[in-house]
Amino acid sequence: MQCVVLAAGEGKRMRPLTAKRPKVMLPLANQPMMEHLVAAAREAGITDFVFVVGYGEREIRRHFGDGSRYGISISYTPQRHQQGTADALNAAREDISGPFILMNGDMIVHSEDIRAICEKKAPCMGVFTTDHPQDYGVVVVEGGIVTALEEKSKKPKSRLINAGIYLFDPGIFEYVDDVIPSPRGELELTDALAGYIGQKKMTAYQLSYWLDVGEPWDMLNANAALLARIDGENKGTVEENVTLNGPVSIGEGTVLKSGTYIEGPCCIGRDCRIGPHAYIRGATSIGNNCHIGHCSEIKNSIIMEKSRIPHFNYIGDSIIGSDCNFGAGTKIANLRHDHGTIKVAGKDSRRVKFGAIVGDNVQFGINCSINVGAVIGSNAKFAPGSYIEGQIGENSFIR
Amino acid sequence: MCGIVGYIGRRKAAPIVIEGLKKLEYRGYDSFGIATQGKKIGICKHEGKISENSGSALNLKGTTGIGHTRWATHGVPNDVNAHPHTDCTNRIAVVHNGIIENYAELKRQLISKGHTFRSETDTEVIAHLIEEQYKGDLLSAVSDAVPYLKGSFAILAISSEENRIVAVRYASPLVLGIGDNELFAASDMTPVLEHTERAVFLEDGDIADLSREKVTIYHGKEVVERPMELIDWSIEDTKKGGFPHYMLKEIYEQPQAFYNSVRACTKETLPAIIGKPSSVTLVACGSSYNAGLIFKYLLEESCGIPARLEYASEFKYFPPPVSGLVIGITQSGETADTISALKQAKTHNCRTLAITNVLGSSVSRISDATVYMRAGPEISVAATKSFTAQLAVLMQLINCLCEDRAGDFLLHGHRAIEEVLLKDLTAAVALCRKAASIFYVGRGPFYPVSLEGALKMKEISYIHAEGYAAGELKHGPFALLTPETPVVAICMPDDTYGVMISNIKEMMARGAPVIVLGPEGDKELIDIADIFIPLPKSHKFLQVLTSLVVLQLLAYHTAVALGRDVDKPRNLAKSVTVE
Amino acid sequence: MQAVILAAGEGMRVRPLTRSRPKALIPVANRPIIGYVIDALIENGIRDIIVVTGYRKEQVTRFLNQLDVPVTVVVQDKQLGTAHALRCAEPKIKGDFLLLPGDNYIDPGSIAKIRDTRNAMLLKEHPNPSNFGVVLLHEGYVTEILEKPLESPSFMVSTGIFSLTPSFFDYIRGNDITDAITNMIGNGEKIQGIIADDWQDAIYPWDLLKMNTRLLPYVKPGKDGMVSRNAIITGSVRIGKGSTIGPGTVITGPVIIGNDCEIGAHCSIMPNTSIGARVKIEPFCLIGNALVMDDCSIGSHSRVVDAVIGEGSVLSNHVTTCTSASLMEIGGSVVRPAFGAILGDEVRAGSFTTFKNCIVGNNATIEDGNRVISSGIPDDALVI
Repeated sequence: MQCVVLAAGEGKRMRPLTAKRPKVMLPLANQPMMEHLVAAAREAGITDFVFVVGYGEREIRRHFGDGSRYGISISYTPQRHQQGTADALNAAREDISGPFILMNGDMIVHSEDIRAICEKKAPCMGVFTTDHPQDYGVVVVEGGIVTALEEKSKKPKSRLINAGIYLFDPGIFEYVDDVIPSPRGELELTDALAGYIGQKKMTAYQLSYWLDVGEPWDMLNANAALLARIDGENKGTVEENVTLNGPVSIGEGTVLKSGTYIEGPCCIGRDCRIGPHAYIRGATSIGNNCHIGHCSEIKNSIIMEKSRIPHFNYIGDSIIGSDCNFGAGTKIANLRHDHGTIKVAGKDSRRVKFGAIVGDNVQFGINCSINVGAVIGSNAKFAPGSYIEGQIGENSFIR
Repeated sequence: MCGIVGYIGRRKAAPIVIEGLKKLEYRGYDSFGIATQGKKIGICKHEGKISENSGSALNLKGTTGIGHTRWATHGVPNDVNAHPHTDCTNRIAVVHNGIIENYAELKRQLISKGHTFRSETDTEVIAHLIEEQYKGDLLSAVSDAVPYLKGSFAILAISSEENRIVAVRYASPLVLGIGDNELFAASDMTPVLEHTERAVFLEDGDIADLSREKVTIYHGKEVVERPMELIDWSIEDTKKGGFPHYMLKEIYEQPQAFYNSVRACTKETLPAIIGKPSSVTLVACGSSYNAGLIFKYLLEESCGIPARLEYASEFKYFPPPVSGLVIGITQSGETADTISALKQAKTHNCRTLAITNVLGSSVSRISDATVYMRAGPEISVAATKSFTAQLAVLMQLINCLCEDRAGDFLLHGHRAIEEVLLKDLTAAVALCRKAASIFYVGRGPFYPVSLEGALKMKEISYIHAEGYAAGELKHGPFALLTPETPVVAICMPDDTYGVMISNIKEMMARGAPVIVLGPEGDKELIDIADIFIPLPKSHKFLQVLTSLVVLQLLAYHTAVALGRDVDKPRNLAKSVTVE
Repeated sequence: MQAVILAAGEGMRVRPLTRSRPKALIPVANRPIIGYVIDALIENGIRDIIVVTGYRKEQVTRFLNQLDVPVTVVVQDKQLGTAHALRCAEPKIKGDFLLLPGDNYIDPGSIAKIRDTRNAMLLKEHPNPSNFGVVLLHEGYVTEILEKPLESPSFMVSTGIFSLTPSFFDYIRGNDITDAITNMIGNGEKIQGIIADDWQDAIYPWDLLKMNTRLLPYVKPGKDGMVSRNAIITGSVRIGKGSTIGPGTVITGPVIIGNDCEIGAHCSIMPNTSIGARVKIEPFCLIGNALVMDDCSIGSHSRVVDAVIGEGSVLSNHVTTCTSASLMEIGGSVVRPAFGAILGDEVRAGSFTTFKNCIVGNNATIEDGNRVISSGIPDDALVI
C-alpha cells in the first residue's frame, strides 16, 4: 500500500511560526507534526510514501531524506503553485500504481485506524465525531455510506466531519481531472468525490482518535496529547537535588542542574541546559540546544530549538519559536482577570488560558511584560521594560 | 545567442520544454523548435515567437526533449535554420546557444566526408560532428566532438538510440535543475524554478550526462562533483493584467520600481567593497550605457569623482590602465559583453560591482559584489522600469559616495514620476508618427536622456531617431533638418537653459518643428515651442527622471499609433547573450 | 456568477481629489474604494470579475494587477453613461451577473442577500435622498426610480447594485442604467428591492471622512515597524511596516498608518484618522478625523482635523485646519458642509497658514505668512 501525504502548504494561519518551516514541520513533543503521522502509518505497515511538498520543501527533504532512517522509502513530488488539494493529489499521479492512502500532513491519527482503513475497499473516507462540526467540512453518513458532504457552515447537519484521510484507487484521478476551481479559486479534492458519493460508492470509516492542528493554539492540545503517550527516558545528566515527577524524556547531552523541579509529561531535547532551580510543568516540550535558567518557570508550552529563557522568566500556555532570547524577568501572562476566553489576533481561541505566540529569533530586553494573546513576528526586538500586546509584525522594533 | 531547455524524466517532455522556452524568450524570439527522443527523433520547429504559436509542438511524444528559442546569428530566421539541428541520419539532434567560430572550416571538412547540410547555421556542424564520432554512445561521441569546436557554446544533444541528454558548457551559461526522477537543463534558472529549487551550475569545459535518475559531470576525462545549490524562488507574476502591452504596464510600474530600488540601496546595504573609490569605470550596453552616461554626468558634477564609461563590447580593446572600481550594468545579468568586460577588469585586479535586476544571474556570479535593482520582472524588450530602477540605484550610489548630496528627496522621487504619467501627449504623438526622422537634443545629463529617448523611439516605432548633445547638432546633422524632422528638445532651468533656447531657435529657423520639454510655467518656451510639455520643477536628478518618462510615453504612444508590435519589436532580443 | 464593476467615471463632485485617479481609486482607510467592492465579491465566492475602466484607466488597471485575484479589465473610451459602460462589458458576460459601482462601499453580507436572486436591486435609506435615484416600492418590488428628484417622496435610494440576467441588455436603449430599469418595469418585469446592510457613498469630498470613520473599524490592528516604548497607543491601531513612531506620541484608535511613515515625537493622532504611506509628521502635531494620503509631509505644531490631504502635499509648520460651515456650490447644487479643509494633490502650504472650511486645488501653493484661506483655491494657483 502506498501513502500520499499532502505537505505542500505553508499553513498561513500558523504564522508567524511558519516563517522558516512549513506547517507540517512544526514540532509537537519535539518531533515535526508530520513525523508522528508517518510513524503511525509505518506502524500500520505502510513503507512506501509519496510526499507532496511545496512551501519550505527543503526543510522536509532535509529532515526525512529518502526515508531509510525510518525504514521506509519516500519519493517527493513538488507542487510549486498551491492550487488546492485536488491539484496536490494530481501532482503525485505519476507515482501511484495501485490503491493508496491519502492523508493531510497536519493531523494526528493512530496507527490502528490507518490499518483499519487500509483493509477497506476503496474509496473510503475517514470521519470523526466532534463537538465543533461548524469548524470543518461535515459528512452525512447513512448505513456506512457517505451520502453528502457539506461545506463549513454555521448549522451543520451532523457531528461527523471529514478527517482528511482517505483510501483511493487510481480511478480517483478521472474525477480529479474534472474538478473546476471552487468559489475560493482552488481545485478541491472534495469536489472530486462528488462522483463517488452520487453513486453511493464511498464508504465511511469512523476514526477512534483524531486531532487536527488548524490554529496555533491547537498545537498545545496536540502537544499535550502526544506527551501523554510518552514513557520518559533519561539520556542526559541529572545533578543532585533534581526532582522528576511523572514521565520526563531527556535528550543526550542535556544537563539538569541542581534544584530543578520537573512535572511530567515533559520532553526535553538534546544538549539543553536546564536550571539550576528551573521549574518545568506538565505538557511542555523543549527543543534541542535550549537554555532554561535559574528561577524560570515554564508550563504547558512548546519551546523550539536554540531558544534561551535564562533568568526569572515565566512562560505559560505559549508557543515560542527558535533562536529567541528572553531578557531577565521577561514574563508572559496567560490568564485574563475576568477569566474570559482569550482572543488571539482577533480570533477567539476558546481557551481561558493562553499566553503568546512568538516567532523565530525574537529578542526581549529585561523585564518585558507580554500580555495574553500577543502574536509576535520573527526577528522583532523589544527594549527593556516594554509592554507588549496584540499583533507585532516581523522585524518590528519597540524601543 | 539564444535560449535552450532540456528535460529528461517521467513526464511528457514537450509541454515542459515549451513552457521553459517561453521564459527564455528574452534571449531571442525569431524562431523556435523542440526535439523529443523516441525510436525516431520527433522535431517541430517554426519561424516566429513561441508564445504565439506553439500548437503542434505540444503533440510531440516522449519524456526526453530539448528545445531552443532563437535570435539569428548565422542564417536568416526561418523554419530550416531554426534549431534543433540533426545529423544526416536524423538520429542525433542538438540545440546550441553561442557561436561556433570555426564552423565554416568544419563544414567544409564534413562536406568532403560526405555529410549533407540543410541549414545555413553554425550549429548544424555540431550535429554532423557528433554523427561522425557516434558509435552507439552519445556521451563519448559528444566528448570526442567538442575538442573540434572553437567559440562559445552551450549544447544539448539527444540520440534516438539512447534515453539521455548530453550537455556541454563552454563560455555560454548552462544550469542543471535536479528534480525527483527528472532533470532539467537551461540557459538560466527561470524555466527550472517552476519545477525544482535544486540547481547545479556547470563550469566551462564541463560535459554532463543526464539520465532520469542521475547526472554525471565530466571535466576532461575526470568525473567531477559540482555543488548543488538551493535557489530561493518566488515566481513573480508577469501577466499583462488588463494593460494592452507589457511596456505600458511597466511604464506605469515605474514609481513603485523606483521607490523599491531607492529603499533597497542605502549606505547600510551597499557592499563594503565600493569604499571611497578614486575613480569609477562603468561598462554597459544599450539602455544601460545611457544610464551609465547619466551617472557619469551626475557623479562628476556632484562628487568630483572622475568616471569613465565604455561600451562593454569595446572595453576589451582598451589597453590598461584600468583601476579603481569597475561597475557593470545589465538588467538581465546575462549580457555577454558586460560579463566579459567585468571578467577582464578582474584580471587587472579591479574591484567589480554588478548592478542587475535578476537574482542569481551570471553577472552576479562573476562580480565581487552585486546590487540588485528591485524593478521586478521586465517582459517588454524595450527597457523602461529597469532603466529607472538603474537610475535609482546609481543616484543613491552618488548619494552615498558624496555624503547625501541629493538628500532624501529621492525617497519621494516616485511622486515626480506619477505626475508626468498624467501628461497628455496627443499632439506630440500626432507629430512624431508622421515623421521620417526625429532628433532628440539636450545638454548635460539631458544629453544621455535624449539618447535614451531616441533609442526607445527607434526600438519600438521603427522611426529613425537620433539623440545628440544639443551643441553637436550644428556640426553636421543640421543638414538633415526639414519640416518633416521633428526635434525633441529638453530644456530645463540650469546653466544650460540660455544656450538651449538659442539652439531651439536655430533649429526652428531651419523649419523643423520642435517639441520642448521644459519647466512648467515657463512663458518663453510656451511661446517659441511648437509643442510644449511642461515638467514639474524639482531637483535636477528628478528632472532627469521625469523627462525620461515623458520620452518613454512618447515612444510608446507613437509606436501604438503606428500599429507596431511594441513588446517584441522586429530583429531584437531583450538581452544580448553573444558578444 | 459574474460581477461587473463600473469604474470608468471620474466622479467630478469629488474634485480636486480625482486629478490622478477616478473616485473608485481614492483610498479610504488606506485602501481604494474599489478594493472593498472586490473583497466583498471574493468573500461571496464571486471570482469572475469584470471592471469597466475609462478615466485614468492605467492607474486603475495598475491597482487591479496588485490584487491576488485576476480581474478582467474592459475599457470605455468615452464616459457616456452607466448603461454604455455596462455595454462595454457585454462581450465578456456569459450569464447572470451582478452590477456594482466601483466607487461605493458595500459589505459582503449585502452581496450575499442579493447574490441568489435574479432581477433585484440593493436599496438603502439615506437622509439626503435627492442626491441619488429614489426608489418607490410596492410589496417589495420596485415600481419607479426617480433620478435625483428635487423633492423626494421617500428616503429609500438605489445603491446602484443590481442582480441581473443577460436579457437586461434588451432594455438598454439610452446610456443610463436607470432608464433601462424603467423600461424593464414598463415591460412588466419585476425587480425585487432588497435592503442593504451597510452601503456608503461619498458624493462630496468631505463625505470621504464619514466613509473613513465607517471603514476604519474593519482594519485589523497590529504593529509593525519601530515603535517607541514611550508612545501611548490605545484602541484599534494598525501601524505599517517600516514606520517609526516617536516617543511621547499618543495614538488613539481607530487609526491606520501606512508603511514607511515617520511620526515624530509628541504627536497626537486622534480617532478616525487614516495616514497613507511614506507620510512624515513632525513633532507636536495634532491629527484627527482626517485622511492624509501617501507622501504627505506635515510640519511641526500643525493641527489637521476634519480634513482630507491629497497625495504629496507639503504643509509647513503651524498649519491649522479650522472646522466651520459655509455655503458652497458644487456641480450646480448649493450645500453647506462642515469640515476643516480638503486639499488636492501636491498642495504646498507655507507656515502659519490657516485653512477654514475650504477646498484647495491640486498643485496650489500658499506662501508663508499668517494667511487664512477660507474660500476655494483653484488648481495650480499661487497665493502670495
